[in-house]
Amino acid sequence: MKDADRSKNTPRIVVVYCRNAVLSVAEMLEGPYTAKEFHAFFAALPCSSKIEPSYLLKILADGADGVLVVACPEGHCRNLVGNVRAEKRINYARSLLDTAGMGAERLTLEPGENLTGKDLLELAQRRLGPLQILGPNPMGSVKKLHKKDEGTKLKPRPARAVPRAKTGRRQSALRKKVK
Amino acid sequence: MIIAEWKPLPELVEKLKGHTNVLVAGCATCVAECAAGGEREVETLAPLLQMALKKEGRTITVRGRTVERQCEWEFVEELAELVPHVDAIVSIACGIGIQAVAERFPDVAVYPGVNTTALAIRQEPGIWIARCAACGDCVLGETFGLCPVARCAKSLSNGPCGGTRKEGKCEVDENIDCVWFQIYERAKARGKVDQLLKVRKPKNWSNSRHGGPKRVVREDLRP
Repeated sequence: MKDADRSKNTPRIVVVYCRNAVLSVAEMLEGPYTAKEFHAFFAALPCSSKIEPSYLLKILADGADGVLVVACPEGHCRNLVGNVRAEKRINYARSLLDTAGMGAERLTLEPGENLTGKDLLELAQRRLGPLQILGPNPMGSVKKLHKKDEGTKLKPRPARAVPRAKTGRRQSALRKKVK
Repeated sequence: MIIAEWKPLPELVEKLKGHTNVLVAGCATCVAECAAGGEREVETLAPLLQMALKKEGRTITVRGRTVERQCEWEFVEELAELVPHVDAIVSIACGIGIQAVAERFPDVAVYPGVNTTALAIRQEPGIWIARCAACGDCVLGETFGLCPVARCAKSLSNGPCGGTRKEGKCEVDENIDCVWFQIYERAKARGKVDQLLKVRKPKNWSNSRHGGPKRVVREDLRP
């Protein structure tokens, strides 16, 4: 989420929806959408079961105030139990958010069927109340810090105070030999 | 496989006090199989730690890297390019991997992100059950392939005890099978119940932890 897309105190909601839960016209809603009361970002999934707790936590760590996952109602999943699996993973991610003190309410699951883009926006709008109670995401000003391998771009720490462990050095030497 | 469980998040947050650049190091072998320390868990724990610390008013950089096996020096070496940029490592490998990382990178604080709990098998998706206690004196040949050391709450060599429930469950927990009941059932199916009447002598515990840290030397494999 880019800072340019944010204005102060306007909640940022990411809506992740199952493609099978919407009418095709709703698929037009991909990317950012700015309403008067909130910014919404839409992302479609082939099935809600593709959701992983790590994705959801990353979205929140990147500064979204709330994440809404829209899945097919129980018994209506084209992949039989995709929505049931999604619900379990979301509950797990919610419990993690609670232990981190972020508030489980930042992440919710809503069932839906034959939804239009307008319906998705309405669902996102319904999240405003609970999110306003929680307040803005404390990560708001933080950019993607947990990005893989980013460390290589940063300034290194000063040289080692303690020499390397013998075993590691021996292994490196052995590898060089093999080459 | 070796199984582990995440440490409580508040414990990790407390440990990371004063650190600003943290590496969450995963292992793609045993702990990945038990969903505690693989790449997926690294990708989950990194943003979670970041959020938990930010909530406490601390801004830290958390990056993640998963190596194939943290218990082999060649794979641990892959972390070397990242370590100069961090002041703490949270390893979510088993206790062996955590120690390997701490030994290879002695000038960086290494914290365990998991508690290593057992040698176990995945019974069903999402359920892991201990199967081996690494006791150093295997009796599986006498107990029809069921380990009484790891699977009996009392590690009885001559069971069952008097606490077995009617349904063949352990008195400790109704969800735990009484392994001696299972051993009896298996012996009965093979028509060898008489073998169980023999009293098994005390095991040789000196080959376990009781004999000091275990060390295996194979001269034929040494350089």
